[in-house]
Amino acid sequence: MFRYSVQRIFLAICTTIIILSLTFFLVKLQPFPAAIGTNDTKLIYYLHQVELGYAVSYSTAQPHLGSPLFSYVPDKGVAYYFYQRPIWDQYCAWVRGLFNGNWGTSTSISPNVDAMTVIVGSSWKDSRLWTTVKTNIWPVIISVPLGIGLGIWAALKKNKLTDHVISTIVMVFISVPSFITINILLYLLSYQANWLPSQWPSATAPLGTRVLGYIIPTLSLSFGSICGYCRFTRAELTEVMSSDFLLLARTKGLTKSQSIKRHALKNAMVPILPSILSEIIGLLGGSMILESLYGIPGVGRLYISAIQGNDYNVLMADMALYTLIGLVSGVFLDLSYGFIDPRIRMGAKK
Amino acid sequence: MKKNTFTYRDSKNVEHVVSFDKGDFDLSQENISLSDTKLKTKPTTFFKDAMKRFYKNKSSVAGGVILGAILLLTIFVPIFNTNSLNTADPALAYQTFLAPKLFEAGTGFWDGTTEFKNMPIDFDWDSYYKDGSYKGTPATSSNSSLRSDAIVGDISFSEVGEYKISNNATSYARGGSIRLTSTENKNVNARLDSPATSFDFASYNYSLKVVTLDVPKENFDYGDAGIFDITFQYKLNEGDAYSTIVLDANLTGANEKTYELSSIEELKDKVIASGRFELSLHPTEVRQNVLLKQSIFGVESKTMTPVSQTQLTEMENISCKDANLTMYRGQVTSQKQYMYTSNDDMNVFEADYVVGSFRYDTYLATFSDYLKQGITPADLKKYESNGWMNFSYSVDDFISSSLKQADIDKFLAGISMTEEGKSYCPLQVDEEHPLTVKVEGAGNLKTASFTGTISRYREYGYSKMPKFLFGTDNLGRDLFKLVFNGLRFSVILGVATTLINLVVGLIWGAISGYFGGWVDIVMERVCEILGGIPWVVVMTLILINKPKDMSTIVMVGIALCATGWLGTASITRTQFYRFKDREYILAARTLGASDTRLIFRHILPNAIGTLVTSSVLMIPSVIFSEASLSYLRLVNGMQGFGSTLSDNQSYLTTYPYLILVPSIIMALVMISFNLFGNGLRDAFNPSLKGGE
Repeated sequence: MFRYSVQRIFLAICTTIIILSLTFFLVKLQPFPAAIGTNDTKLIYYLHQVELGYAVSYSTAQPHLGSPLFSYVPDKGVAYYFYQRPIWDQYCAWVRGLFNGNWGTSTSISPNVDAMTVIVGSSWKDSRLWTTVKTNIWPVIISVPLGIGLGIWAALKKNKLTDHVISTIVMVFISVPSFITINILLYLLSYQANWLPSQWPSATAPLGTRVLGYIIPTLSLSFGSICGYCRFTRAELTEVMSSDFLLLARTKGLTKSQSIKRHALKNAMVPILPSILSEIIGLLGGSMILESLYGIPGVGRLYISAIQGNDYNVLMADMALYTLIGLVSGVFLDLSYGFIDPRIRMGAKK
Repeated sequence: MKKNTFTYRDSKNVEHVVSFDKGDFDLSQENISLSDTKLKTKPTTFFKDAMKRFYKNKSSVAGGVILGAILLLTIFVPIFNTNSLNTADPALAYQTFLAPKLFEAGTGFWDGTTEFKNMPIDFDWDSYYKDGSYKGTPATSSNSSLRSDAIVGDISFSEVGEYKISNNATSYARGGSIRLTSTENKNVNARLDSPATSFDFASYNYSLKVVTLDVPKENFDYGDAGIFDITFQYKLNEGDAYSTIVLDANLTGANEKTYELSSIEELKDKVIASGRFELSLHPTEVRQNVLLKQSIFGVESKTMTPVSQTQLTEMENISCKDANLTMYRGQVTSQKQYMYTSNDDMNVFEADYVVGSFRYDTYLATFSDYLKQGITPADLKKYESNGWMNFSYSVDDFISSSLKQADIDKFLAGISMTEEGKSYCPLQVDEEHPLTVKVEGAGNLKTASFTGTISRYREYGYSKMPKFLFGTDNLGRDLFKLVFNGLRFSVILGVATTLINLVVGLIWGAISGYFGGWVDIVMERVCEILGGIPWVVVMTLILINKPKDMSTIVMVGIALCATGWLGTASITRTQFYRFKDREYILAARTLGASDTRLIFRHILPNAIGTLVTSSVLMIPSVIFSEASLSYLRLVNGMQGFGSTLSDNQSYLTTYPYLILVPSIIMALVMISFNLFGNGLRDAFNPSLKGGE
């Protein structure tokens, strides 16, 4: 188990490095992100790029290097001519920077602010990541008990009306894309009934409005995951319930409820628990569509505005975040199987 | 012993001899050829068996039927629906935001009507005070003009009081007060030669001229209600309370007077922040109504154009319905009463007005007939050359005639419409809709212009009143066609990417699964790395690196294929692992079959069912991804279904059908695709079906 864990984590780290490098090269193939603002802020920006190792500066023009990224020629004092460094040098500098926690600076979203700071924020409470986490935590809290409960109910009433009704609802909500659910919720609850705000309330809004602002994101995210858990639980539980050891438990004299509580549920939870854990990690990523439709200032919307504003450093940092979340939750999922049920020996040879 | 002779002893020990010869035997099936009998039951194949299982699953069959119907619509709607989607088409500009229509207007559901809530009504106060009846038509203002004939059913009225109407002239209010403000009223500022931040009354000559106070005594019993005061209220600073100057008290009946504000001692040389005139009627407790007819507030200064006398006299003939001019009713509810203003200063405060809610037939409003003036002879000749109209007295001859009444009568009597013209000609001439001729000028300069009924929908090129099943969007495009055009695009994109994914995944998975060992390990790591990148990141990386001359559609296709094949590859790999160690493969290999033959002839046919069914589920996921890309605004210029939906996102409040209808279709497509795909998968792999 220990060997497997080490192996798995090592592989995940390798994958992360490869993906991030690939991302870096593909992003850097784009034109160098230009600074916006006054000449002074531009100068600060390009000097910072030099510091980060993405650009070089000269006090005279270097025609053999092509046209400069930016030239700052004051009336008196030192002139600056900035040139892009070769992509491999930039990569090395970037890797060096990463070890110092340096992700480059933002160009358009919040100019000259460190890219990671744009995501994590100067204080955690008003960071974009925290906004995403706090909108995504409620759906998990609601959907886990509800989804598992409905799944158990459906499995116990297998092939009866209850099961069919639950399965149909699950089918419908799993198929319908989230933006349609959001639109319908917005239309019914915000525009028709006028109960809920139609946009994410600002931080200065009254407390009541801010609380109401959580309802649509929570509902729209919950539907999908309730249905996911329900389907998963139902499938697992029906499989366990048809197994021989449960029959043995019944012949031994246990009642149906005893056998389900003590034997079936525990076994059915084995694959479900890891998936809950990995979803908890996944909530850092949030839902991009929800964030851009409902105007939630989280990491998902940041990603979209980074693309639209060609703010590649922020985009890189955000992509790294998404990749990391995906890989960590994958590793977590695999490893937790083994911890939860020691019979499962992950990575064991035949 | 003789051949064919047997002896035996019976119980009494007596010996018997029995002999047989050939004649004693008879071959029972001597001339019948024997073979296996044919099976009575029909043999089943794997495919048939799977289909049988599929048909048992009723919901999947239903999903399949719905899916089939939608796909048929997707094929035939773009072909047979001839409505233009080209936004350059001039007719489209007129037919924007038509509501979905299936039934005739008035049925209340899907009938092409839109609900208008709390629209200002030009209310008929006369009949209201006469007999309490509610009558009125939607008020015309600069931003809305609703036709009263397109209202379906009745208007439900409700009164709104104390409402601030700013800047728009209102013909639908009663009561209220005007206000002159230096900073708020742009109309006043606009009339000053140089913009003023505060309003210096001393330098201007304001006058209020109550021309007539008309009290129609035959209809109303006013008592003392006709007595009123005219006051001017002003504030020196915006925060102050109003100070009141009584300009004239206890006025009755018809008065015509000019009040010069500049002559008031208190206001001399003062700059006031805002001011308003008020009319207060006596007594306070009587609730009565007085029609303030032609009360004019004029403003004059040395540098401004004075309100001309002609304007004043014209205004004396204004009717109560005239929106941009001055007529209002004053209602006696309290000492505070109100009056009116010229068309230049139209800030009305604290006025009561009536609003109404009603259903409005958008089709009738857009496409109904209208009387067009100034139809030229050239138009008529065009209709004639199109074969829509016939003239027994030709248009040219008529124009060059003396245009006397006799000629006109003769010309009008000679107009006839052809059958085609009755369907297509914008100008419809018949007994109910006559054409009239207007002759202008004299002598040789006489010209004739025509006035006739133009049928709006024929003018836009329809032969009958159009009916848009899903309505039209902001550009006037038929949403029904737009949705199915988009769906066709999405399905084609879905099928194409699925095919590419299937082929790539199949080859990759087959090699990885068949050869195993280090080949498998390397290929698996590649898949793991690719699979580790979130799909948004993949999309972004590919889309930001789009070459300039490459179309977005191809790029989105590439982006969808970039990691889309991973699923197929993993399924193929599993299937290969499952089959490659079977005995029949060993047998084939022993017989000398090559790797290619083993892969393509022996293993793949067994795995293909699973792969094909799993790829059915890939199509909705591609549709979903494409829609998500449009929603996230990662791509522009896609023609898919999702882009139709995301383009209309901003109309969710105002025209919800633009979102709701495509959403329902999208949901139907997704649900039926999933039902159908899951059903197929369960039918082909019964072992996968959870716990059954």
